[in-house]
Order: sequence, then C-alpha cells, then structure tokens
Amino acid sequence: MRSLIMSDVETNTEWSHLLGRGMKGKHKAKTLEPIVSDMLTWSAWREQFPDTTVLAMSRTAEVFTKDVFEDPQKYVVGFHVKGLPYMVPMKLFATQSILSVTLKEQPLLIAMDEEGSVVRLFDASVDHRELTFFNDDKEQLRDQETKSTWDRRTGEAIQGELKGSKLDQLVGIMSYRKAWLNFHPTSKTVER
Amino acid sequence: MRRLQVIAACLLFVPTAFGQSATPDYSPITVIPRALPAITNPNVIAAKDADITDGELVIGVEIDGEARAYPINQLTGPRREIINDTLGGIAIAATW
Repeated sequence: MRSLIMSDVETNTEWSHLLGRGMKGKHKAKTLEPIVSDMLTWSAWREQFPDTTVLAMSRTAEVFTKDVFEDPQKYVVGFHVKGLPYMVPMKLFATQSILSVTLKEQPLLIAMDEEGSVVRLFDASVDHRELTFFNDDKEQLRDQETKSTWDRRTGEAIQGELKGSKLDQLVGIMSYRKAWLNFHPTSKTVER
Repeated sequence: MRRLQVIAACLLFVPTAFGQSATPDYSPITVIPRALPAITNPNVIAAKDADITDGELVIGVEIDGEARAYPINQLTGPRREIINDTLGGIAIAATW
C-alpha cells in the first residue's frame, strides 16, 4: 500500500504522509510534530465546540460519513508510546467502550464516547498519579483509585475527589489497519 | 523554513522521532508529473454558516481555545489533500 508524498515549498524536501518523516532532501530523517486531533462526525464536533470554524471549500467527495465505520474490522487507532508503535482494533469497541492499559509504564485510557462518534486516547494520570478506569454498573466511567466519575468524551472528572481534573489527550490516529501495519510493521496490537 | 506541523487523521501519519518502527523502503512512483500548488490561507466560516450534514466526517482540532473542522469530503483528491493553515497562532498542515 502506498501513500501520498508531500513536499514543502521552502526546501522541496519530500515527506511521507503516513510517517510525517522527511524521506529525501534537506530535512531527510526529520519528523513533523503531530497534533492531537479527532476524526468524528460534524454534529459531534460542533456539539463539543459550538464556536468552531470550518473549512469552506467545495466538496470533492460525498462518501465520507459515519457509514464508513460500518465495518470496524478495517480500522485501528494507531499511536506511539516511547517510540514504539501500537494499534487498537476498532472492532474492540463493538463490545466495550473503554480500554485502560499501561504500556511501557505509560498509563492510558482509550475511550469511545456514549454516542460512538469518537475514540480518544488519554494519558491516564493526574498530577503524576496513575489511574485505572472501569465502567460501573450504570456504564459510568470511574477510576479505581478515587471512584471519581469521568466524561468519556472529554476526559474530564465530573464528580468525586478529582472533579475538575482533566486527562491530557494524546495523539491517536484513526487509520486503515492495512495502512497502519504497512508503515508500522512492528506495531503491536492492544486488546483485551 | 517555517515550523511545520501536521494534523493526524484517518490514513495519516506518524509521530515524531518515534522511529523505532521499521522505515519502509522509499521508492515513490510518479502519479502526477508536477507538484500541485500549495493551498494556503484557506477560507473558513462559522459553524452556523456551514452546509455540512450532521453525519459527515471531519478532522477536528483545537489549539489554545480555537477550534476548527476540516470536512473530509472537502479534502479528498490530490489537489486537496494538504491544507496549510494557522490555528491558535500555530502553522499547521491538515492532511488526508
């Protein structure tokens, strides 16, 4: 599987789209800094950020709606921990809404919101205090350590000792499984 | 060179110096003979003015309190796959 090559106007360095890495030219081997972002429905984004602005160009396609996720087998959320690539299969979220896991001493929360509109990756620690998350019998997200209640979509504690705290969102990339594996062949699968 | 940053999304990319994963061979093939013009300073509008259906997918990013959505149905095709933009005072590239 191939992917787009980007070049920058300033140096004509050729960059791998999927790797964000300079492949040829002045900036070879350098890497662009990824930014936390989400792929989600317009309604879900607008609900969380009502004052958002939006790109205003003509449509070049019509097909990219929530229906593309009808076959979750095709998709993963890819991410890195201490330089190592990992992926969480989207099919996992057909049967559970969260995954609380520690990888390379990094506690993580990977959570799908109540509407199933977005999966986000969070640093599962607050003030250097590691947290382990679970869903209670009312399907509310809680941490084992303080039993505080959390919003799965925003990573904010909404009730309990940690009310007002917010987990840092980390870079997680929604990707075709084949594409992620092709460019990250050593990627490990995280699932439970 | 200005600071470049990239927004991740489906099919996209990879984080920084994380490079312990194997790097695929670099053997590009030419699909389009000339580089396409860079898209810079794209037009953006308020959410209330947008003609986008609720179920359409967007790449959403929020930087320093400023939020922006990039509808994937506007990013599809070789002339649209990279949007150079500024958000929250930072130069970014939204790619698809």
